[in-house]
Amino acid sequence: MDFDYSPWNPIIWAFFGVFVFTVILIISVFHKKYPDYAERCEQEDE
Amino acid sequence: MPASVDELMVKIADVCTYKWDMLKNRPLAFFLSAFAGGAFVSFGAMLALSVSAGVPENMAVGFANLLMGLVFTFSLVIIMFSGMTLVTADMAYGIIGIFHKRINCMQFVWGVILAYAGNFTGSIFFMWLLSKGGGYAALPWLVHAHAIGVAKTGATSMQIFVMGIICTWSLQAAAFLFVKANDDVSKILMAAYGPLAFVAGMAEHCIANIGFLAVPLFQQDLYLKVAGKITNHAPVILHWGFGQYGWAHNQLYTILGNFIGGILFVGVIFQLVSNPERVSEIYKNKKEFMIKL
Repeated sequence: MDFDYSPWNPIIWAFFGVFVFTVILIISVFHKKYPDYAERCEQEDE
Repeated sequence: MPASVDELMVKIADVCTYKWDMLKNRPLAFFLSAFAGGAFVSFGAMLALSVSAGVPENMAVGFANLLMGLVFTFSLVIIMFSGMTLVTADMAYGIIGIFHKRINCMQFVWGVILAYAGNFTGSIFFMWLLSKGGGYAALPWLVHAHAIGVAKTGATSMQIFVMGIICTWSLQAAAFLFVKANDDVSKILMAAYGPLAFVAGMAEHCIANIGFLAVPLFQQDLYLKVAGKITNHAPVILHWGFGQYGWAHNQLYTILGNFIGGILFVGVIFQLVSNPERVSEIYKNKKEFMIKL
């Protein structure tokens, strides 16, 4: 393929973008579902 | 009894707090711990090169990989026992820290960048020093180091990317189990398993590859002098840039793959397997929020 040795392989960068989006989405949904999760840590930090 | 997965997640969040606290309050110390971590990885790369040069392929295909993996094991052991920094471990620990609200995304990114910079500096400096030592300039090591460099930089972007995912999937599983284990022997076994799996499994690790590729690049002039005597083909020229046989080509796609393997397939999965209610119970009785490895 043309992109085998290019730093801009579109499939890999698209895959990486989906990965970043997915991880951020999972964390956001997790924190919305469990708003009090690990809340004592935040109190400690303050 | 080893910690449950719920306790494990809290312990890893505590490790993350320790690491990012050092980054925030003593950034030079954090950088130096990453420098040491990078050099420790290169100790393993040096030994792997040392024992695998000259092993005939017709003896047993994969035997050289096994030897390399076995001697590479101790690199993660000494990193974890000394509490030094390895960027791929911090990627996986950091994502748990974000779930547990110990750090935010920007702090995570800054930690990864500084850890990589320290690891890079330590690894490349150690390998530069090694190339000046002369011991690996003898023919078997010269040829073997170059062959490793050609194999790693000659692979396509997709091959490197996929083997990068596989690497940190196995390595960071070991880094998590290191924290889970209670006694020193179990911790050593867990830490040893990761490098054995990824080196013998021919996977791609960004910091290990800095070491593996730096030796043939630093010694390329010596190799080219002898190459004409040992082969009829024109020798492959390695280089530091992008494109086939380039260091940056291998490094870029290894890093991208390493992110996904450690974060998605280890950090996120372990976190989602843990029970949020039980984790909350642990937090109710918790007084300390920081542990050193």
